[in-house]
Amino acid sequence: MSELQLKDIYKKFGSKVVVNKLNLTVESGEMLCLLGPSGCGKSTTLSMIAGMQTPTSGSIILEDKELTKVAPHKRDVGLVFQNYALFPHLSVFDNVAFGLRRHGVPKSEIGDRVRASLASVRLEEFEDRFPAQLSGGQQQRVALARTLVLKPKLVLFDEPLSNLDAKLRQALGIEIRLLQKEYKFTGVFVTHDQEEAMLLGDRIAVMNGGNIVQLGTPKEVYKKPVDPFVANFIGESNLLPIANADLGTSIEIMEITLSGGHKIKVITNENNINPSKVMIRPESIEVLVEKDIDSEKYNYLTGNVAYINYTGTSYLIGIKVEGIEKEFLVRIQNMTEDLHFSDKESITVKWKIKDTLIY
Amino acid sequence: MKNFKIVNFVNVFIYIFILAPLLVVIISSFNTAEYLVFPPQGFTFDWYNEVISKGRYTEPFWNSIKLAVVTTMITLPVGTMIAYAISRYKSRFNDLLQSFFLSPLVIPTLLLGIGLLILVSNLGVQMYFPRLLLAHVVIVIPYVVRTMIAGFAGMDKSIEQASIILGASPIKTFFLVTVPLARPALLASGFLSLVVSFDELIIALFLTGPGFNTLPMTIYSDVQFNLSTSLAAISSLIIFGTVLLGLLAVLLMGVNKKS
Amino acid sequence: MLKRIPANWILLAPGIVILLLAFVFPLGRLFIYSFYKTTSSGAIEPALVLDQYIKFLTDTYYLEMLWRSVYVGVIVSAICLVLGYFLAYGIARTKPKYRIPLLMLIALPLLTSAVIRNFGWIIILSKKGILNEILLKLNIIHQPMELMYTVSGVIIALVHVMLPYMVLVLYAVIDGMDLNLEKAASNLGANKFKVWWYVTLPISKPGIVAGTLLVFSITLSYFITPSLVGGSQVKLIATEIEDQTIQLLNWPFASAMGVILLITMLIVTGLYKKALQSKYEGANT
Repeated sequence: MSELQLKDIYKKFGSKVVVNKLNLTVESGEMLCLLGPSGCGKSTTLSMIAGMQTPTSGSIILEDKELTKVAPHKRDVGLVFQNYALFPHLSVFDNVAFGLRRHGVPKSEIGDRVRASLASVRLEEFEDRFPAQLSGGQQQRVALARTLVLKPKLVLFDEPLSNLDAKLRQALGIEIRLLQKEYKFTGVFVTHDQEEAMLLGDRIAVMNGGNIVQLGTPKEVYKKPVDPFVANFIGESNLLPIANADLGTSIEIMEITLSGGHKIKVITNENNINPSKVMIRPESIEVLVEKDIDSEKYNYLTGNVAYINYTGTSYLIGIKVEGIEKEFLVRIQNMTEDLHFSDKESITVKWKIKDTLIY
Repeated sequence: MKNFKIVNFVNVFIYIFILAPLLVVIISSFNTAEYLVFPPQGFTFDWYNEVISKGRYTEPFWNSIKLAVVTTMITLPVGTMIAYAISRYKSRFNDLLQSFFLSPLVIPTLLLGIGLLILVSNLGVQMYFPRLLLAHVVIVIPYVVRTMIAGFAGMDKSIEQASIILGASPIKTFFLVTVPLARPALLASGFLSLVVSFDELIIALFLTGPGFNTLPMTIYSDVQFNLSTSLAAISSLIIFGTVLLGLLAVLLMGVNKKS
Repeated sequence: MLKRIPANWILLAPGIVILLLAFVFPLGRLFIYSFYKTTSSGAIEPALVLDQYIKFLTDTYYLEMLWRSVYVGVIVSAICLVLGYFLAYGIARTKPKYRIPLLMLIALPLLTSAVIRNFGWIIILSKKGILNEILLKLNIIHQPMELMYTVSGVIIALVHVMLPYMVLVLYAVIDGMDLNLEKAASNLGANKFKVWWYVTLPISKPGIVAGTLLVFSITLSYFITPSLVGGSQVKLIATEIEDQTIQLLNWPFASAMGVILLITMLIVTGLYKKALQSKYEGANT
């Protein structure tokens, strides 16, 4: 099957290690996202799969065939670029036909295949236009048609949506997913935008400093980030420093004292020996309305309102808690009523103990 | 920011200064008198006729054209290959190579002339055309290399990468994608090459011998010993020719943008 | 790219061969020849002596000629700088659509053979030439000026030849400047002149240095203009070299002069750069 394996991929530029013993298996038909900040090695990894760069050591295997020694123009791999990379001197038709012609596809077949490919991206009417006459979104769709007409087993995406406006990004992202189901290719998608990764990836590999820090489904990566870096990179997070940690009454519950003296509880396992940080997602937090305190189920924190932002779909409240430097963020969605808090008003919030993570 | 008014005022005069010699030559070429007198005494095309029909400048003209064309036929491919190698392949020698290939610009042509004269005499190379050709290629290559490096630098590398990943070998990519995209730079290089070779005087003076004159050489000799209106006529023709060639090059560049 | 290094050098090979053969090697021969002897009968004898250099450096005639050449080079560079700056600044600050045509107008003389340009100057500068005719008619002078075959005439013609180089170098720097800097200075209260003096001028310094050095270097070795406009009356090292090579066939001496020319260029360039470095660093703090 069109399974892609990266084995011990290592890439060095001079003395700088850019990709550090990367191991990854991409399942056939899956869309795997390489997500990370600039400099994390995701683009270099992608260009090594494409053949534009050679790994210092390690191997790349596609469908049980060693790809590393194969010249880039002989690999059965597609590549979609951030800036579309259409041939400006060729028409849309000739752009899409380019790969077919290089592969020796007979002339009689080319016309039909090009048109079918353009139809799958809804650009059949555009075959005689030139790239300069197309919008960004249209150009990227031509690029997709150009790549997919060759029916490659593996398609690589190098931040293809970054140059498009926000609304278009989502539409085209969904279109790429549909095309993947239609053409049945395996995909590797590079991005620094976590929303894109969540939208497009069957699995996400979060990268930092040349390593894969966490590999999992969007849900896994979001709900159980493996370290503060991932927690911070994906979604919003509150990272609070721990002053003291004690195993409490039950072996499963740890009692944490935060800086500022606030006490909360965390469900723990044997691995958390010396935790330094606590992580809570802002949208897991509620504002306390009733006076009931259920300390078996919830953690509580009190502070003063520093600001409230209304985004249309949610409220973001920043709370100044004593002893804690950064504002504690609370995101309230699905409000039934408008929220009113005056500046510096006292507020208490709660969240489920099981939604607390420690590192 | 708008210009200082005085800057614009002064510049008008500087422009007159720059164009004056050329205008003077052109105006003189229409004079009725055979020998150069100013102000011109009349208006005629006679001397243009003389120049085109009589043979005095014909042979040197064709010599210069041949030399310029063959020089360009060599410098364009060689210079483009050099520029491509420096632009697209990483090597710690790239800076050094670039300086090396641009160095003829820095060395006075005068010195190159002497050096080449000594060399070809020692080697016994008699034929004038090959000698001049070699020298002109050396002089022109820096212009081509410099222009093509700029051209390749301005090109989006991902387009060439796209070509490769779609199945075109590096050589195919070069001819199918890189060259078409480099057309403006190629046209500019070709134009420069033709003009620099055609106008070149110093090397020609050093390396030719009896029987082979380039047009600039003939004009040089006539300016010293044989000033006449015909001379103004042939000079004007060169000016017009250069302008036309330039316009042609610009036109061809514009055709590239199909939108 | 996989294993590209050999392909790299294949592309470079023809160029390298040509330049080695027709550029490096000839210059090497020239250098070697400068150490040869010339016998009294005019024959050339391979040797390793400094005769040619001594001949040049001990003769006041030649030393004066060298000095005159440097002097002319400096004057031409200075005049080109002033005129060139006016032009470059003026063009860089005009409406964008006029810039390319204006630049092309300046480049036009460059693309015209030097002989033709100097031919034009002969017509203008002669005793019976245009300049004299106009000035006499306007009663600015009462006798025709002798400009042909003088150093002044040569300087005028040289300025004309070199000006486009200066303009193109300066233009690149001035045009490449961030306009916001001028706007910011203006906003902070500087009038037009002060903006130019405190912002534009310092930023154009690299262009000024490059341009003046370029013009100086070319002028020093340029012989077409001194030959045509100066004739045998204006003695500059470039014309002397040509003379020795072609007319007198004294190649060793010509080679030695060539080497001296190069060394002079390097020395003046070096001193100039040093002088500007310290000024520049000072202004930078």
